[in-house]
Amino acid sequence: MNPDYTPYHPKWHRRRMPIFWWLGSGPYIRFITRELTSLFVAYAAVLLLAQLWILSRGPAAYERFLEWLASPAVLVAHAVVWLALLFHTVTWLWLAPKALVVQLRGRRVPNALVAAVHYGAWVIASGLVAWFVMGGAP
Amino acid sequence: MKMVSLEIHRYRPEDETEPTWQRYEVPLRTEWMVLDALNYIKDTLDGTLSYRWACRMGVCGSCGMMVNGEPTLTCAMYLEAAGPGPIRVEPLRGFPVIRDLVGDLTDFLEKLGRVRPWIIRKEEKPQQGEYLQTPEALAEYKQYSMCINCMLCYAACPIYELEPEFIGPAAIALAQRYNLDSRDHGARERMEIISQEEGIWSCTFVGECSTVCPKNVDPAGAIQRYKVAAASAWFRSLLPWGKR
Amino acid sequence: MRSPREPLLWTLFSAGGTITAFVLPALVALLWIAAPLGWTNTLGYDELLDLVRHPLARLLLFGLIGLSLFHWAHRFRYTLYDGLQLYHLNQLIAVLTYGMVEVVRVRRLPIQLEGIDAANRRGRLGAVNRLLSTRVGRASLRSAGAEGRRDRL
Repeated sequence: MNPDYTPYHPKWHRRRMPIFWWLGSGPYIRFITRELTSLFVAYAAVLLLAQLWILSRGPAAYERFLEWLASPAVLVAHAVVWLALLFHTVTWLWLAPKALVVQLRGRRVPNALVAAVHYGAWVIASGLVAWFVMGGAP
Repeated sequence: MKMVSLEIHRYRPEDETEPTWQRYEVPLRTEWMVLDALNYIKDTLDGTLSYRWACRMGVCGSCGMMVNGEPTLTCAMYLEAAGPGPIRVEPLRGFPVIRDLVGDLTDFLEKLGRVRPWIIRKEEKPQQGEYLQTPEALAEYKQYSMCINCMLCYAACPIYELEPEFIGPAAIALAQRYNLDSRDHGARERMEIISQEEGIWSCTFVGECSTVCPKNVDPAGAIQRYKVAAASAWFRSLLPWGKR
Repeated sequence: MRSPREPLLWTLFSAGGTITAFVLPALVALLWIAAPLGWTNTLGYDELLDLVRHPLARLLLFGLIGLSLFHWAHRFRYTLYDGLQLYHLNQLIAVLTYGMVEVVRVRRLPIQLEGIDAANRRGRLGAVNRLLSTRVGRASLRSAGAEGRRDRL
């Protein structure tokens, strides 16, 4: 007999959400990994800023920065960063169609098609970036 | 006859302060759903087991429970498919448990009412007859009208369990069902209610709500569309001609 | 119209997510993997300086870096709230995340972009930097104060 129980007054039970709920299932783990890519985005932004700042400090400083970039530990780290950014891109462009429903002549354009258009645009944008960075712009 | 074990969450507030688990052996009939196993338990093994069910065919939304940790309609999951066992059956997450497998759904019902899930019109038509609607106009919102209020999406949503004020996937999807209905004039009114922190802005697009929905309502998509609509409405209100 | 805080923050987060999704993989692969490994011909120091000095390049870089950081700030705030259930720290977290973005944008971005500019064109672009960063900064810091009412039951 539960001494706290009052007849006809229900004692509801509320589960306490475990602190590591996000490790509880595959979808939740994928979700939190996706969200944590934002840290890598911030890292890329900050490093880009640093690169611009070092650029303004003169050729010698920039040379040292380039050497640092080429060191093996840094290269491995940046490969990881790149993979995270790739994950961000793939998930972001896959989810974008959910928010942008396009209706063409009364029929909804299928999600896969909208996503495909996004991925195509990504390829084009990457090409543009490459063109810029490798000296194509006047 | 092959048997399968079910491990069922029991909570009897008059006897105990914490939930317990109880194991039952049930015949593994190939045509049975998990709901049939629960009915078998109640009929022959333990009449004190409490749970909700009604139509037993996936249209009423009463029998939602966590089966092996996934929100499921017990009338729609085959006993064999639920695994070699023991099959864990718990009440839907995110809701307080009244008893055994029965959760208290008052919170959802209050939030559902809050989003005004009915046709709101500036004025009614003066003449008799129904409001005409083309098939294209119907197609705009039909998906969101399929919701059977089973609340599996609430059980799947971690935000709902973390933040008690979150209005939740089904309520927002139903608000969208009316916003997108050509007969309705209440979109602005609902926007005021839903474009709040406890509305769409708490959602971080985990997406599990749409995965578990038995009717393919896609509440996650409805919420993201609502975010886009709310953001564009806000931007429009900044323009000098946008103020209405 | 009700408080514009949430739609604005979400729009900036969304813009940041989109621009980083399109641009960062290629940029990072080229700048920090292909270039150091010598797989591509990169711009020399002088050419790079000229490229970055161009006002369009500065605008794009400002947008990219600023929006990326904002994207992180907004998303990470929610990750901390929901992932670690740190609601009682919500005010602190909001200040730290958006505030960090504010500090970077106000302090470093104009300085970096101006440092690159040998000629004295700081007037117009510098003013735009300050205007953009403070308006969003004000909105974001206001959010830090108002977030305090979000209590956990």
